[in-house]
Amino acid sequence: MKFILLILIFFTSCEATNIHNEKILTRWISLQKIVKINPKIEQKKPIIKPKATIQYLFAVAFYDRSFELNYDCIYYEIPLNDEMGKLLIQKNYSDEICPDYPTKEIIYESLNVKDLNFELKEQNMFLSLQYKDDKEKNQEMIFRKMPLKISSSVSEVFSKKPAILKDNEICEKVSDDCKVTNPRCDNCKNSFFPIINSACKTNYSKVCGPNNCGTKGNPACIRGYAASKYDLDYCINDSPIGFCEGDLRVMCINNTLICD
Amino acid sequence: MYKFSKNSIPKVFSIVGLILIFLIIVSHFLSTKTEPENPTQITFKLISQLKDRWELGDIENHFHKKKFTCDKLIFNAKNIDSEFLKCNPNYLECFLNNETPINSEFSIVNNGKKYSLKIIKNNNQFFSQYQNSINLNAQIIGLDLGVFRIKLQNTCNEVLLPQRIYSAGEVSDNSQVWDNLNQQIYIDKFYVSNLDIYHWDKSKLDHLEPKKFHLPNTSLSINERKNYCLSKRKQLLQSHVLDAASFIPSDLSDSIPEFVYKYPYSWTKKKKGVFLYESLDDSDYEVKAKDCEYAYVADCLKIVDYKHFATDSVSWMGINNILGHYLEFVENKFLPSQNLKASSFYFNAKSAWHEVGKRASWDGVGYLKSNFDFGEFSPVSASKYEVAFRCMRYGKDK
Repeated sequence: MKFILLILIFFTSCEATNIHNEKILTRWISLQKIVKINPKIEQKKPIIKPKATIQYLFAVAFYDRSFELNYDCIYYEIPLNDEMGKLLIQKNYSDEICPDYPTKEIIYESLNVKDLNFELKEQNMFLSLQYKDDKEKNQEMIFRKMPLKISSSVSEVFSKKPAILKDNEICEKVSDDCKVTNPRCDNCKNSFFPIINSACKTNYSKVCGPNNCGTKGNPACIRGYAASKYDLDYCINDSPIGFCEGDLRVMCINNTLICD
Repeated sequence: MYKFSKNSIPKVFSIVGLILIFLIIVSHFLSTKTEPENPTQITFKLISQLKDRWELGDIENHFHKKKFTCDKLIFNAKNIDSEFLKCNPNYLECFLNNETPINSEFSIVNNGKKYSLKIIKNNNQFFSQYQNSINLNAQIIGLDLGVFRIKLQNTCNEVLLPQRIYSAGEVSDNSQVWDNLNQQIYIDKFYVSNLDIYHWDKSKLDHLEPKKFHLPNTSLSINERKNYCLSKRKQLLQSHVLDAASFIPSDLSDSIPEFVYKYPYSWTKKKKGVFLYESLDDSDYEVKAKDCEYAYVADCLKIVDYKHFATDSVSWMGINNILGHYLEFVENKFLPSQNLKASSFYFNAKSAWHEVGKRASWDGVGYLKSNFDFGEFSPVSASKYEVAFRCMRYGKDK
């Protein structure tokens, strides 16, 4: 009988170690994607070197309770002999590159971590934490790629929201070599529309506000490179890449095509 | 015959004990095969049920079979297509109120435990409107996640304009060529309805009854129309974009053609045999009910009821109500004064307005004949000429 009881206790304790990490779970409940994975970290294997250093792992994009797209940067402080490791999560306001070390607000910290490994797949993410007391916490999250967005209102540390951009502010800047910087058109108060202010032929910068293109003093509407069959410098007066209402002319002012 | 002896009792207990151990081990491994799903998976499965109901609407077609009435929310009439009930907050409310024949519970059973999604009313309302979506408060019975918010986006009512070279203006005009390569442009499939305006700003509609919810809104001023679209993070539909969505491309596989050919009718590249073309030549041509599915013109008013949210007259890329139907206000970036799609049920089939790309002018002030410039073509007489509108938006990705 004692033997049977021992077996029962053994199986019960196995179940008890399978704990979900509710705090991360509720924060990332509408996880969208994993971004910027650290290529130096090998997945599915415990991270043991270099000891006592903080390593950036990856960033998660998710919708918060106000339906804003948020980014968290995930770090791991690797244990040094008896000193246990830490899982650290830093909040980022946009998809700017996570710094190598956490420098901003840490919104989650899990101490006494002995072992950590993770696996990122196309549809889900698996995060496994082994603690000093040999408890194991496994967390599997499924990405939500559909338009539906949900978010939890379970209390969390939420700092102030990114400022709403006003009309006429550039919300996505495209450089001459087509590099996109600081895309945040979701933060426009109203809608946004494309303008021509660079030599990039495959993407356009975007400006917050109602589309007033083509009118006097405002950006030219886009005719496009393919439609105009024009392949030279865009920034000239009467540039065929843009068009304006009625008798207004397309002018290149401060590298932007404007109607005047 | 085998007889039990006192000595055999411990042996029996040992055998029973071993069987029990074996059963416990087997049951443990069987149970680990069906791992319990985590709260995320359960949550998403439940919310997917809600999302499907929101996006698919009355998929069982109970509305047209008159199996439910929600008189305060939806007016049930034959001339409303079930498309109206997709992403429709009033239908969802009717559903959540248990007023349709379907059980309104969203639930799943996982490892023998039942989980259900409970939508929580706030100030006696199931949802609040925000931009192009509705927000609901919910909790999952069976999971200790607390109350969370669900955002259901209106994904039903817009369609992406394919990236290619287009030519705006009437068939003979080749001066308004443009392209949307590397740009995402989404266009509303239908006119903005009174229900849309009702949920945006009730004060804009005086004593609006549910029986008028499905009608296109024709009462807002031009500025109010612009503001409505902005509230949805959209803008008023532009004339050249409407033309792009209406002119059937000559070769769908060639998105950058040397020359953009245009055809006057949105559903065919032919002219001969098309009732609008035949009516131009033959004043005795009698419009048939089938013709009205392609373009609902004035002659149709006597033949078939106007069907709202109908998808009969869909364009090549998926927007509806191209030729015929209501007058439609557009912003014209090439020729600002040409701001009205004139083809509508205010003109007979023999009118020259019934061609894609043709535009008349509206002063935006009133709805009398004197507020419009239809050129030499006169509309049928009406106490007022109602002008509908729709919105469009740019997407972020290329």
